[in-house]
Amino acid sequence: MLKLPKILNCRAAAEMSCRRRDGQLSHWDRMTLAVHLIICAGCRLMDRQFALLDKAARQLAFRNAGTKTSENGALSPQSRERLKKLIR
Amino acid sequence: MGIEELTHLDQPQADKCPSAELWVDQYGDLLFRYARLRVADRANCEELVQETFLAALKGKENFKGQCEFSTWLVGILKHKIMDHFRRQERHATDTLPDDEAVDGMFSRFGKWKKFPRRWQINPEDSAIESEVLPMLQRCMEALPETQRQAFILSVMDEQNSDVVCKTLSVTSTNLYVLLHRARLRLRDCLEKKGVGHAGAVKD
Repeated sequence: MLKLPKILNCRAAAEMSCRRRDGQLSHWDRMTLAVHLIICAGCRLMDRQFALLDKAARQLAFRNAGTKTSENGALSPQSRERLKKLIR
Repeated sequence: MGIEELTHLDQPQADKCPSAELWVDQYGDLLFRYARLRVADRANCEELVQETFLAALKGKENFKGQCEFSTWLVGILKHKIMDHFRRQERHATDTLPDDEAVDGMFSRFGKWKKFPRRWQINPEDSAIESEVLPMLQRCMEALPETQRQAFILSVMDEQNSDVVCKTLSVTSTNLYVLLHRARLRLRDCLEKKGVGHAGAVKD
């Protein structure tokens, strides 16, 4: 008997899309996901957005986020002074 | 790319470590930013930077110039951050609690309550740098702790999943649940912040 990929709902498709990104999706499930993505425009966008998200996260790691001027970009003056006394 | 980019502060002769009184000025902010991106709490980050400097002071004979000095420091900090994640108390259960934010994105039939919108962003575009990254950083800060750590270690720092599972003491099944929830929340958060001047879906 011919086994057809089952029809997914969007929530399951989102989960599968992630598992595929993490290298955890079987060939059969890949096909099931692909079928859903053909018929669902929203999930097609989601799938692409997840790709962009992962890519942006890796870029963030390498960019060593934050500029020096931002609040997150530098040690506070107090802790800088404290560290300087400690590290010599 | 990556660590190399963090080394622009180094002097060309990298075989000797610079004298310790210069460390804070030269590498303090660099280490702080590295920690700040990965650890939510500012005070914790400052503590991690201090621990890193102290460990470096103790072990500076081990630095033989095999890499830039800043790379060596970042390597120490990386381990300190993993230890920090490891130290956090976690519920050692097999089942994760439900994530209401994620549940709220779908109807009980598993359909999107609000359809994803199109983002006018080309992944090759430089807009990702200026627009998406700062938003992403803020959205990451809003994630629940364990989800954030899972996403940082697995996706951002591309660590092996065995290492991530051990660090966060979660099963591999739960790691993938955490990553899936984190991505759904981040997607949602970016869209709410209006990434890519969201227009209606016409696909």
